[in-house]
Amino acid sequence: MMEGLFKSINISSSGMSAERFRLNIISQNLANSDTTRTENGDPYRRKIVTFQEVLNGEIGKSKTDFGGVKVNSIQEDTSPFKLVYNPEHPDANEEGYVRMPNVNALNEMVDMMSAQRAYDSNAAVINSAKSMYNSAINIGK
Amino acid sequence: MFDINFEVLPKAMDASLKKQQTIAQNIANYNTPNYKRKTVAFEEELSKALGDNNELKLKTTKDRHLNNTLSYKKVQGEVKTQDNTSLRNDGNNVDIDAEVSDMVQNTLKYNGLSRMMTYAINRYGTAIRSVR
Repeated sequence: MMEGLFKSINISSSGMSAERFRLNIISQNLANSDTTRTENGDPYRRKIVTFQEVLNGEIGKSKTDFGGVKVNSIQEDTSPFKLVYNPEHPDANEEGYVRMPNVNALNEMVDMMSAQRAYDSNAAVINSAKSMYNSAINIGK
Repeated sequence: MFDINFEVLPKAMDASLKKQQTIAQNIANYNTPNYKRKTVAFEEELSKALGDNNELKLKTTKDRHLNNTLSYKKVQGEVKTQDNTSLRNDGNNVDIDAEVSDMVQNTLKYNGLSRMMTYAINRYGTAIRSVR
């Protein structure tokens, strides 16, 4: 039973670390929103984090033992780069156009708010599990 | 045991705990694409097993007799996936506000149950002391 209560704390902390990871990637995207040159010569490509549910359980049976969430992969946004006319720029092509990263600040801000809300909610679950644990300790007092 | 409180209350607390885990799982997967929210029918099954609803029961005199309702001792709480709704474009159907309000209710319920457990224990203390 004790293990059960700590489990809900573990689930929520897996959610918190996944959201924090997503927030890190979002800040990486925003920090590189003007990066025109990366290691492979291309402008920076926006990165997207995908999550996956974790279910534990015996093989062959339906899995009902909750394990929270994990980061599944970091993928790159394949949408085309923005072309900006700026002939003075060192990375401009022959026609004077510069390829800019496909990072959209608006999208990133929305993702950031969503990650933050989810992080807060996970923290609220930990708090409420803690209050449950405390009341179970105080049985008989 | 001699008092039904000591059997039913822990079972109800277990149900509440299982619900808390389900809510934690739903909230942790708030941003998982195609995740469908999970529910656990522990409380409903428990209330059915305790005969709180007006269902016709088969009369039994032994545990092994044919029975149409489960004994409350055997209620496990089946996890179900609610996959007929969709809230967002990514196929996820976790409504964060509903989950948080469920969580608050569930916590209060658990705290109340543990309080009741304390009272159930204290009643015996009162009875013992009042003999002196």
